[in-house]
Amino acid sequence: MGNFLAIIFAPGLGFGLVFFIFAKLLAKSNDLGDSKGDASFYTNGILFNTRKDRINNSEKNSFALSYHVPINRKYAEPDGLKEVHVFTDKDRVLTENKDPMKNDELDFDGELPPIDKPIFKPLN
Amino acid sequence: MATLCKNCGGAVVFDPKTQKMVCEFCGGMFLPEEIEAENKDLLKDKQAQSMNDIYGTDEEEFLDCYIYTCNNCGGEIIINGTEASTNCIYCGNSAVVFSRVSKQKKPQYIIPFQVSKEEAVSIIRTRFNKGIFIPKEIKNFKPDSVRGIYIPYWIVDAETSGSVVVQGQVKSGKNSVTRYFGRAGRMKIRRLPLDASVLLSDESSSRLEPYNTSNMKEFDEDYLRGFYSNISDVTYNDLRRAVGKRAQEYFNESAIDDVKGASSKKVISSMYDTAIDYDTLNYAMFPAWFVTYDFKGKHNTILVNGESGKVVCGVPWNKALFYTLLIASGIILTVVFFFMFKYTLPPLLSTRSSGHSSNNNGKIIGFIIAGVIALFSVGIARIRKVIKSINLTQEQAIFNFVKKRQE
Repeated sequence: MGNFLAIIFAPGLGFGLVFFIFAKLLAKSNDLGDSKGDASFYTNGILFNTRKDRINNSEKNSFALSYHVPINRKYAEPDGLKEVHVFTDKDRVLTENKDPMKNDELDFDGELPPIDKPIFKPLN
Repeated sequence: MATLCKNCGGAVVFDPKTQKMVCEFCGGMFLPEEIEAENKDLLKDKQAQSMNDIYGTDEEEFLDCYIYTCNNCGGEIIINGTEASTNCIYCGNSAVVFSRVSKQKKPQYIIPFQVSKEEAVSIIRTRFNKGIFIPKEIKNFKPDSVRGIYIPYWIVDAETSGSVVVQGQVKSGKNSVTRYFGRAGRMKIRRLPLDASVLLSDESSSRLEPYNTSNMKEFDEDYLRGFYSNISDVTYNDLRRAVGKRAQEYFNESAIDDVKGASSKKVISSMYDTAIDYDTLNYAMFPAWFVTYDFKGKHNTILVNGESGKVVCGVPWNKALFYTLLIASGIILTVVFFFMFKYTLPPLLSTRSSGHSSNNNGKIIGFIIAGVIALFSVGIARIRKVIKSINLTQEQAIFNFVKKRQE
């Protein structure tokens, strides 16, 4: 039994380990510059507003959607098919406050009519 | 298009070693800002003619090129849709095509070349000599061409809002159990450089990073002299896709780092929203050397960061040597492990079977089988990943990016 298991396990472990080591050696020798600027180059990390260390199965499926907060954009997204260019004053005027995420047009800053005074004339 | 020496009238080019404009004939040196401004203004109005218009081919299936006249020898300079500087094939003078880098298409910043052509080749040779699986012919490679190319980049500020679920293994007594961790928040991205050339793959250009953006200088056409360059041709969709991809990678990386006391962590569910700050979007050119060489009838390209000297490439490997060593080492380790198992397994199995139920034997064998399969498959996956990564910089697209230029 011992010999039989040793014959099965030894090549698996031996070659598995060798593949692992040689992959590292090959990467070091022939795959030059396999790195790019990591998060620390361009960010200061995440400013967390929610941390939950034990979430159950049902919350696992809903967490991402429940805690997602979209960003309020200053400008609407430019036409995706246009070539990127440095933003000009004209672009700013064209795209400012047109963001549907902001829903500014839904806000009513004026004075609301008294409740007992209907806006529309009731039908007779 | 060519800037001429104030002393002898010869063409001047930018020299990375001295960071000055140097006359190739009399050796005169000038700072880029000393080059006469009126010369540049005059050349800004110089217009190109469409090749299709000149030669009467208006079929849309052909990529249109543009023809300029070299102001040194009168020869035709043909450039493709996104080139901003090149060399005249007749007199060899460097030519900056001003009308292509005007107005909104004109870069705002540039990192001038710090690494010279000779230094770039020398860095590559030093690096190649350290590679145990690099064939001798490649160690003594003769460059087919060495081209300094300014790659267009967009420098992006952005904000990402994300919510992710991280799965991890946590120890609970003797066993480990799967736990889930929720993380939500915002992350600001500052001065992220993204390659603005469609022809160059993002995977290859991102490997050239990092560039030190604090070394950026105000763009001056004279830095392009003696080098090739391209202008941006990416769309807002391309930019959003690239920013979104990097933002997600960084968000996931930071969220995973924030989960403590767990192993084998990975993000299993996520939502992101990334907004680019278009007000602060900057357009810059970053330097890179593209060195091409032939090996066994196949073109290979090596990229060198023109600022830091970082070498990026996958080098063809000596397969005979690699597989011989791999198989030999595999056999040696197999023999070692065989004896190790032969003498350690029987006492272990017999002790267990006599003391406890025979189920324990199954558990031990199962554990070893799982370990062996895991190690074997991870080992093979790693080798495949490395080979894929090596092949990445040998893509035809990169070679085309370099080759489609006038000598």
